Amino acid sequence: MSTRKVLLIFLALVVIISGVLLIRKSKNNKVILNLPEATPSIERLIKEKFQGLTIPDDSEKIELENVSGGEGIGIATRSQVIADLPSLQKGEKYQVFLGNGSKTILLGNLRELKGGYILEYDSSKYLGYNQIIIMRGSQHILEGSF
Amino acid sequence: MLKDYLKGKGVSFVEKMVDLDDTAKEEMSSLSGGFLGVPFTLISLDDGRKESIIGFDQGKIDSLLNLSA
Repeated sequence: MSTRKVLLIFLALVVIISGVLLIRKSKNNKVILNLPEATPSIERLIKEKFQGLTIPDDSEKIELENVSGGEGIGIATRSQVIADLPSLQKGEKYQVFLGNGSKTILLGNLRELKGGYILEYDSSKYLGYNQIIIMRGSQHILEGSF
Repeated sequence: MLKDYLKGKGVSFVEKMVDLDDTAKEEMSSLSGGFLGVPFTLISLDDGRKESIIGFDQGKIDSLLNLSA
C-alpha cells in the first residue's frame, strides 16, 4: 500500500471519528431551562377564592403576611380585610386589630364569606392606623402594614 | 363595646388605661406575651385563678363569669 493511500485512510478515519464525537457532544449539550414557575399573587388567589368580589385596582392594598407558621393568606384595603384562613373551632373568632405604632385597637371580628373571612370597615375613623393584625385567641396569624 | 357589655351584664370592673399607666402597661405586656392590643381583660376568679382575654371574646367572658348569653 502506498504512503498516499495510508494517509488518505488515516485522514478518513480522523474525519469519521471527529464527526462521531461532534454528534455525541451536541446530543449531550441539551439546554435545560429551569425557569421558575410564576408564583400567583396573594391578590389573585384571594380573587379566585372570593369569586365575584371586587377589589378595585386603584385601591390602596397590602398583602398580609402569615406569621403563624400555618396556612392562610390575606389582603387588606382601606375598607376591607379579606382572608382565606383555616376554619375555626366553635366559639373561636378571628379578631382584627389596627395599630398606629403606639396603640393597637380592636377593629372587629372577621365574618365568614364564601368559605373565607371578611371584615368591612371605615378607615376614616382610624386615621394613622396603618398596621393590620389578625389574631386567633392570643396567636398572631396575619400581619401587614400600609 | 366590652365595657358596654360588662355594664349590661352588671359585672363590676376596673378600667386601666395602658397608654397612660406604665405599670398597667407592663402588667398587660407580661400577661399577653408582649401584645399591647386593647381591649385586654384580666378576670380574677373566686378560686384565685386569673384568666386573660385579648380583644373582646364574649363567649370566653360568658364562660368564665357564668354569664347567660
